[in-house]
Amino acid sequence: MKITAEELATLLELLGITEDHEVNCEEFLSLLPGYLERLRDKQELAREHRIVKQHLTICPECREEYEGLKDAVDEGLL
Amino acid sequence: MPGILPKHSNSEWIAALSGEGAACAQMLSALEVYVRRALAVTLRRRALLAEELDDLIQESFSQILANLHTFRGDSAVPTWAVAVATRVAFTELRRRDQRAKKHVPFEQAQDDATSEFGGSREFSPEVSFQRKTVLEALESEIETALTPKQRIATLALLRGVPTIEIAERTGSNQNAVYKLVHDARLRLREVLERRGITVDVITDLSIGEGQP
Repeated sequence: MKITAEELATLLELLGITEDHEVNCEEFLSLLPGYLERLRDKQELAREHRIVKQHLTICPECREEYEGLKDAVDEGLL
Repeated sequence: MPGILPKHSNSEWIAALSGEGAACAQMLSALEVYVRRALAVTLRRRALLAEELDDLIQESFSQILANLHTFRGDSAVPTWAVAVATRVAFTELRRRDQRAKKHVPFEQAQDDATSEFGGSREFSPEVSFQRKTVLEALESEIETALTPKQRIATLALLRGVPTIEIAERTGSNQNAVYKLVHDARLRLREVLERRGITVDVITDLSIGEGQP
């Protein structure tokens, strides 16, 4: 299974943001509704902001879902 | 919460979603309309046909009811329901995308995910040389430091194979796949550090010139 130069570059960047303890996608999903409500209500996000941001950088699938949910927040549907 | 839903406490929602009778059915119906409207927006970037969207909404809503016990109470029930529905719908869409590719072996999968990484960044000749050295070390460590399962899952994810697909093809689950790949990243970071390639070096080499 040969790895391409671009895949290696992507993996290198992922290593740069890898943390010893990360939330997985299920844990991320459990944080997300409260996070979105605080985002909507312009409340303090410091506690979970770093965790959410880190996971969104690592995981393109959760990023896709977050972007959809953020659209719903921006349109006043959540 | 926006005013398109009648205001109820979380315990009222939970009781209604788990209960029976006309009042429960009315709340359930109101929540379904709410989730439907939100899902039409969360899935908009996928440009689905109306019937595809209907299928996904139906499947998502049944999963909300099945997963009611996982509600943690740190948001309103309707917000949680939309987040769950979005996860269910996107997971199903990724499954369908993958099925359309007719079971391509992981090693032949093409990365069609848009990556924020790599790309067309520019590096000075000195940094380019350092990057090349580090990338060669990384390629070598992928072969020697990772287990076959770690290697396959890591490369499959880099090629845009959905986590659900990797989990199903390896008889695993999505949490286990995440852990496998997280362990692989930690292992690669550790072995690179032993070669003197620290996280700071990696970060410096990952940022193109002119990047913040």
